[in-house]
Amino acid sequence: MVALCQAGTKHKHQVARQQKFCGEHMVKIWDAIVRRFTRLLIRYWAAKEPAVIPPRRYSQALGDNVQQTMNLIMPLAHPGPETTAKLLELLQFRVDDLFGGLDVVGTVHFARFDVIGSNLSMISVYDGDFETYIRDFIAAFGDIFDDIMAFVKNPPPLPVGDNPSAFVDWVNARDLLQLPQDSTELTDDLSLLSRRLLLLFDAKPEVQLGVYRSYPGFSVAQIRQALGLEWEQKS
Amino acid sequence: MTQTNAQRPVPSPTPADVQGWVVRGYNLGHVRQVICTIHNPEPLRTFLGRATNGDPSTQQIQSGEHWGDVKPPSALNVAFTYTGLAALGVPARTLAGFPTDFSHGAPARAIKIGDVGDSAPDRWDAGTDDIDKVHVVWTIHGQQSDDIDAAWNKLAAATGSSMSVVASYDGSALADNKVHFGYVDSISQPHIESFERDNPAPDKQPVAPLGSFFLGHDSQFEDVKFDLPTPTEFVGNGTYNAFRVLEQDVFGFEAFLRRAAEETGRDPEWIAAKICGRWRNGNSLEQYPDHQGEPADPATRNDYGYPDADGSICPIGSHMRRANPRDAAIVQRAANHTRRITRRGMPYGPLIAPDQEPDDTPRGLLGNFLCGSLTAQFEGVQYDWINLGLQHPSITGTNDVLLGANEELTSRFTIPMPDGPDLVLSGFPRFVRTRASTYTFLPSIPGLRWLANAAM
Repeated sequence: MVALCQAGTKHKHQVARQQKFCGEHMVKIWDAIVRRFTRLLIRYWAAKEPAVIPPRRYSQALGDNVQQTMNLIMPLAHPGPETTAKLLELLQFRVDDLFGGLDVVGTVHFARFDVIGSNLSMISVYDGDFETYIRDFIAAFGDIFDDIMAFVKNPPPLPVGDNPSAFVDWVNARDLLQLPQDSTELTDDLSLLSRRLLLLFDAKPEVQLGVYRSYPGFSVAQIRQALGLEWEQKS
Repeated sequence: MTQTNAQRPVPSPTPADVQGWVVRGYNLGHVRQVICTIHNPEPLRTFLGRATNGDPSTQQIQSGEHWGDVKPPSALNVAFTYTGLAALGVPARTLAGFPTDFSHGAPARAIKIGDVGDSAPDRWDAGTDDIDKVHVVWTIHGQQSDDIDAAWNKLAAATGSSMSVVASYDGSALADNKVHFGYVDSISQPHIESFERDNPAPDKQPVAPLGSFFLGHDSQFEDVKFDLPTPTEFVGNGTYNAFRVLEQDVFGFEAFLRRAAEETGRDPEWIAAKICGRWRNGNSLEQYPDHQGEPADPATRNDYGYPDADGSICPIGSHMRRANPRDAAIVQRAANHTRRITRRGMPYGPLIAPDQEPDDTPRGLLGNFLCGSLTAQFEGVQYDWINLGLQHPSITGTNDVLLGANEELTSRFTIPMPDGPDLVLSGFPRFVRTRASTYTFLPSIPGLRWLANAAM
């Protein structure tokens, strides 16, 4: 009897495990079906109504127009340790020109180059207009970008100094998507917002999701002035 | 790889090669600027051919060659928007080479440059926000308005139904070259390399390189030439223009001056001078810090800089110092002289008599801002100097009193005082409303001939 009971208990445990196993599998299969369906649905929507990439945002609130972010992602032509070493050598060799140029631009809080995966990235925080910022750094150290472009897949027309607007467009296309603060900029019909977002992320999958600012609304020069650091250089 | 500018040299322009308006003010007292839609390109191209072939039986597009002692009754110039060039049949490969600011057009750039609220494109004059209608802007300067009528009637007859008018604006110079806000205007203009100085009032600023006004040449930025679409014979030596119809709230401005004078115990003319950076009679604050004096000799009144780092003579946020910082210390350390634009403005609407009761008659300025790059020059000034005030930490976050996109709740203007605390004016509204705005391209004279004759 005891043995039967034990066998019955064991059987019950087995059944429970099997049910749990089957249940988990069913859930996984169901999730996979949903994901597959969602992908197909997005493909269908995208074919029917291509995503509209929102233009770069300019705020009417002046304080919002400082501490802007740029996340420039440039796929490398031949990613690997050799390319990374050459990029490091190039940037170290020109570091004085680069930093001096950024000082002259005058509106840059931070800027850094990283190799992430198979991409070279330039990530920076700057004040004012994106196009003016890119044009200013073309003027300040466009020749360094000409050298960097030798390592980048699908480079812009070179030299960048002869094609500044084309370079601005090239950078803009490789900057992470920056979402508008107000979702009504994406659609007048909020019931369509989810669809708009999905189509947007499908068309431009690399996205800046959010930014924290500890001292919002202050420019580089305001911070440097408050700290007693030089912010100007008389012409 | 895309072909680069270095492979397509552009000859240095002579005065005969460029539209005259870019290199010199005509000093003709009247102007009409007409925005048109192109319906049929062929008659228009035929007209452009006749207007650039030297045959005086058709009024010629006015070049930069000086007309000598005898002024013509009128002077004709022409500019096209991106969609206008497309409507003329300019090939897609050429259109693709134009910069984004121009190809997107003025309505798409509105928020960036502060054309918001009452100045937003959907509030512009009917049709002027529709890039599918705004194709060409004709500009006719004339000695008399009858001369302009005669020139326009001939042009309209020659082009027939190939164009229709979207909007037309007439302007006339006011006495002493003043604008409706009462300031003497057109004192400072850049001197373009290899051309005669446009303005008899010299300044201390460097000569503007050819490429800062004509495509295909070295620009004001070291080792930078602005993007040059092909073919060179069409685009080379061309210039961009932001043509803007700017309505001025003259009564509102005068009321603000009176209120500010009462609040500060100062003279309204002193307040007006601090706001602009010049006295209303054209004298600079740097040369006349305490009183406006008699109008200075035109030969010397523009020859000044900004030695007052604290703005205690000329406020850092004043209109003149924002729009052209000359030798002042600014944040964008290489930009003191790189955003200069040639301004061609003419007031519209009747002059206000002293002590006149407020009325609703439209008054303002037909403003034209000529440059080699709309982004680098016009928008650079408008976005982060006139608005935002990025050039100096003490004004960042504020707009120009005269031209800025101000709101009463947030506006403020600081007048640094040499002895004692700053005076701060606040609570002022926007005094200039945008009624229309277009981004156009003025081809060179050979460029207009190419438009007339090229197989497209």
